[in-house]
Amino acid sequence: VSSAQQPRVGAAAMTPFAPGKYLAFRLASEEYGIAILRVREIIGMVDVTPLPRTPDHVCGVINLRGRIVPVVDLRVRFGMTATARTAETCIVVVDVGRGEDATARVGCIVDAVSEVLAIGAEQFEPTPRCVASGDVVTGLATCKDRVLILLDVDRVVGELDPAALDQGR
Amino acid sequence: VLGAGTTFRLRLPLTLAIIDGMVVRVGSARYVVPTPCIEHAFRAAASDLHRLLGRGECVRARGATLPVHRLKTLFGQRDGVDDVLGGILVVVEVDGERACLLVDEIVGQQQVVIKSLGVPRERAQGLAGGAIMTDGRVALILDVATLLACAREPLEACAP
Repeated sequence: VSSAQQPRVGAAAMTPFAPGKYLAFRLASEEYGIAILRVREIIGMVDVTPLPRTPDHVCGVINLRGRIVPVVDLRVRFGMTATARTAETCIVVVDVGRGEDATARVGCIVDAVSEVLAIGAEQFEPTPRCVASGDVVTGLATCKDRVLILLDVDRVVGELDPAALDQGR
Repeated sequence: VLGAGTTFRLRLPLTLAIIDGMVVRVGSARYVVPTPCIEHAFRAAASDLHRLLGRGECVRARGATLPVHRLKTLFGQRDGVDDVLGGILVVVEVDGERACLLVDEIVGQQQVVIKSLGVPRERAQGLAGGAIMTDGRVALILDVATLLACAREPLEACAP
């Protein structure tokens, strides 16, 4: 086992992902992970007010304790078919933006949230060649028998960050 | 003391901007139209309505002929009244330009706090922001100036 893990450590050093805790959530049959430090909170489904003239994956806006937060359906964002909401469907509210004033918040609708996983450096897998740099997928990690697809929050919902457009990014 | 004094600077956050708005309903959605933009509202009679060869409709109101825009079409909504005679026409005026917006009904007048929608302005054309209504849901506040600009253009030109 240790010999098989040798190349992984080298690959992990090249990935932008630091070891740490990741929130695992499910979309269709796959499990995804985002850095827990970017997660602000997880809430159940609430009423979403549709936002006109926006891409399909932008579901609308919600009232998060008096603050209006846009919500993105990650299934639609990733080109999957939207499904009916279940009791497990929830909204993961994340912080977006890379600056110090990263205060933009976006909600992501996911099928279910599974758990918080601590991922060590040796658990990162080499990024598959089919994943281009700058993609929303930044790598893979294995945890026990599960494969976690790691996502870059900024690239997934960064288009909704008001500051991002100001900077012409 | 002569020549000495104190300056108080009070900076109000933008979220405290309160506007007077007319809440209208279109299908399942509610929108807030800033009251200063509204001239009046009325129910159109069939004889006042003129169709322009599939390029839209005009209605005669108080001696003026005004273009009719369906709010549901501008916002790509599936539900809502489609027949001009079945809804209420709200006459809005901004920068000297007047137009009628078709809505299902007028819910009432109320003061709302403008909140940012949290998305870039380019992504929310025709909207000035959002307001949290008494039931906790979000209603969208119209920006009548950009909305009318969008209505003039073909729909694709304004799509994000």
